[in-house]
Amino acid sequence: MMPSASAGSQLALSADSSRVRLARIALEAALAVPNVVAAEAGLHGMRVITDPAEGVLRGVSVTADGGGRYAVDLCLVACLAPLVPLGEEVRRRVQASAQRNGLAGQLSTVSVEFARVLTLAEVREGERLASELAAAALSVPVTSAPSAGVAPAASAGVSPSGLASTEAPVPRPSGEGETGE
Amino acid sequence: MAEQSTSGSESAAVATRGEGKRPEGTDTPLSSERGNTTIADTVVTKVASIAAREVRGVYDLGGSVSRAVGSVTQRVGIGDERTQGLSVEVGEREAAVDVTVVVEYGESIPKVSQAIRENVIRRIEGITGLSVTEVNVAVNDLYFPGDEEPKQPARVE
Repeated sequence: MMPSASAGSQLALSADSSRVRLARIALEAALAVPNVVAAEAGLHGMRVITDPAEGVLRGVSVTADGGGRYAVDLCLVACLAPLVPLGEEVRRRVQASAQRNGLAGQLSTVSVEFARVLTLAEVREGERLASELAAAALSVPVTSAPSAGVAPAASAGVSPSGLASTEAPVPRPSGEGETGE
Repeated sequence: MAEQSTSGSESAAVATRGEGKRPEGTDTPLSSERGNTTIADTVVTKVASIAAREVRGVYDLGGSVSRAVGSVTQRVGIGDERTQGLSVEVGEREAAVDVTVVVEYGESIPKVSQAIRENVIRRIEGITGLSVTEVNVAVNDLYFPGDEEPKQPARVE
């Protein structure tokens, strides 16, 4: 069944809703703070919000707080550093970003949870793995060989040079199972 | 073979373990009108583990069973040596830590225990902003140099 025109307009509206925009700018602002490594969904995967434009945003949830305002909850992975000032910096940057985007009046509280911390060695190891995987993704050959008599066709995700798309997800550094200390 | 002692910061002397509720309207470093900062248990565990290992005279963390299980789980990639020998309770603004250690033979156990306690408190309070109410240190074993199992010769050259 084809979606109706009204359903399409609702989708467009929800994509630009204050709640989703707040989630997006809060996550971007938090990840731009030095010593914040990543965001994750947290215990039971609760810190997740669906952004119709960009897919699922992991590490943030935005809940109505009354009076047309929204509370932002962030779940972050950080370097081993003093976390109280880091949380304050995240809060300050999220509020500044909301101000710039005209959403300051709709932002109530910004709660920050630090789910994990990574040592410097773990961060470097994660970066190394990410770069290795990115390089491996670049060098993956085309798996579907053209059958005899059929001209090769450009398939989605494969460039004309035969290299796989570089849009492979870059893994977040993970400290589990590493003994980088 | 176990030495166990309990202590904490001075303010913790009258604190009840697990107590973490703050009076209404009181701002703490972790909580303000603009929002809260929450520290997960895993963060406190990791900080405590690193802090305990920093102390001279600490050979390893965990009892013999947890170390044996830990070595297996680490080999299959599902374990983290930093969590073995540690148990933490984390409230809104306070934390309590139990740590089990293996001390090197020849070191003064009371001194090592005190050093562990001081370093764990200093690191946790410095990094997380949580107040540490108590650090219980259990010395589970002594390590003698040369106790390691000899490496098995390679089957192929």
